[in-house]
Amino acid sequence: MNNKAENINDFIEKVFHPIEREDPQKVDLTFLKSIPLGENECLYLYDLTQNKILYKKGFTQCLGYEENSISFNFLFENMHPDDVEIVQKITKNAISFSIEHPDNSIQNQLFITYRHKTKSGDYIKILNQISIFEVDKKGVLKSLLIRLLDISFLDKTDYVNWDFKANGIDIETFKNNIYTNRLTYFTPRELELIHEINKGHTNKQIAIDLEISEHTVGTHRKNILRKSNCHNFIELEIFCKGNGIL
Amino acid sequence: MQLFPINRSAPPELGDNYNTSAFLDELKLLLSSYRIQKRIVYWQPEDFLINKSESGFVIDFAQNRIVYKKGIKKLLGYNDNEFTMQLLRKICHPDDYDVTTSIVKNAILYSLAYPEDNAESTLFISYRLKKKNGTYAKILSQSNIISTDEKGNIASSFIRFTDISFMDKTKIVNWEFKSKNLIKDFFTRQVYKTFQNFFTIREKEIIVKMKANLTNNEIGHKLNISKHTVATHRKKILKKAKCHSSEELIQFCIGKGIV
Repeated sequence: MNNKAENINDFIEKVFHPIEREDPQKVDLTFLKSIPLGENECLYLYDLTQNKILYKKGFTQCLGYEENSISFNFLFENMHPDDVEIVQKITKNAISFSIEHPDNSIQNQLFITYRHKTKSGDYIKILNQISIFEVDKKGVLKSLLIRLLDISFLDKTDYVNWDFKANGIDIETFKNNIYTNRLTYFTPRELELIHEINKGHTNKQIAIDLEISEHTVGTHRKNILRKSNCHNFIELEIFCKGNGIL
Repeated sequence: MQLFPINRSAPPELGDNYNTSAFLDELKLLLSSYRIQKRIVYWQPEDFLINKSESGFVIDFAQNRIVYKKGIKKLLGYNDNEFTMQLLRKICHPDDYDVTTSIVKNAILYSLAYPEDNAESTLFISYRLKKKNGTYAKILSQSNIISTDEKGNIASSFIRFTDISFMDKTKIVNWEFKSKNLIKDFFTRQVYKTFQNFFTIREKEIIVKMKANLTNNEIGHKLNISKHTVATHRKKILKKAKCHSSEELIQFCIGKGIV
């Protein structure tokens, strides 16, 4: 097990103190068993208070793995190494948010896209949809229902995208918690430029928009690339999206 | 009753020169005379909704209307009584409409030709829909057949809508049709058939070279024509596709299966 995969586990240990119950509470699985799944989908029910997957299906079809080899850790371990850290951060922050804001949290939904390794060793792009399956009397979440959908047909990018729909969320604050450097990594001026570049504007246009000379724009561009260790603007885009800057 | 003559060697097809709204009218006409004696129900719409916040609806083809709606207001802003087949047609982004309709049309034709696959087929399409507030959202629609007549012909479908604007900022309609016996290449060709004659053969040659980022000069050399002729072709191509740049054009062509 690698360190990265332990992170989310440590987090869950800390927050939920999961215990293996001798007499686990009965969860009604009838509904889950009747959810129709396509061949590019799988789902599982993850109980945070027991740190245990209570139900799973579709993994063999969708990812190629034997169903009994699937655990919460296993899924994180087989994420693309470049994606796993940020996916854990997002998941942890969304769980914390849902615990701190239990009001109506049952309706919260977290979407994350990332690359996942299949049994054959290839990576596919997954759209992960996490919803809260069960909450306790105080509204604190107990279990998560997680649906994985292979969306390689529509997403060919290499970065992690996500969307957290939650009651009372301020998405900017939420983003700042996940990407701690997102507002300080580049100077405000550089950020302005990055947004302009992202719109596909030329140096000339940017110079007019920001009321600076074209040469200054060129210098900024160079600095931005050097700072982020990127060789071109495609790499820069991936860097910025991966760090919550864009 | 059979809607389309079934030919096992190849899915049935309408004429080459049909236009998509004509297809929908034809389908509507066929389906309006379609009386289902006995309905075989595979799934209930609720089976697909794993969370209270999800959106979905059921199209009943026999009645040609939407018979079940859930979470539409939250997703797109429309009230349940506004959300009809007509509205769905109207709010589809005009640039996405033809391809989307062609995909749906071919999937329906396929389902009528191979009814034994119906219980396990899923159609995914991503396209832009206009929300009530006037902005467009990129929607991932996932359709499953949930009931058929006694012969296995499609009777109703459940469609799940997910807003994927956060991750898909392209203008391209992406899709995937999962069905047991599907010959994917053949199906893809059928979907994009109507767009194949959009450009002339010469224009297509030039588009392929444009995609490879060649200059007018280089393209001229390769095709043994002058760079000025290439420039004229370029202009015509852009005008035809109503595109303003090569990049936009390449996106246009990818979305229509031209390159």
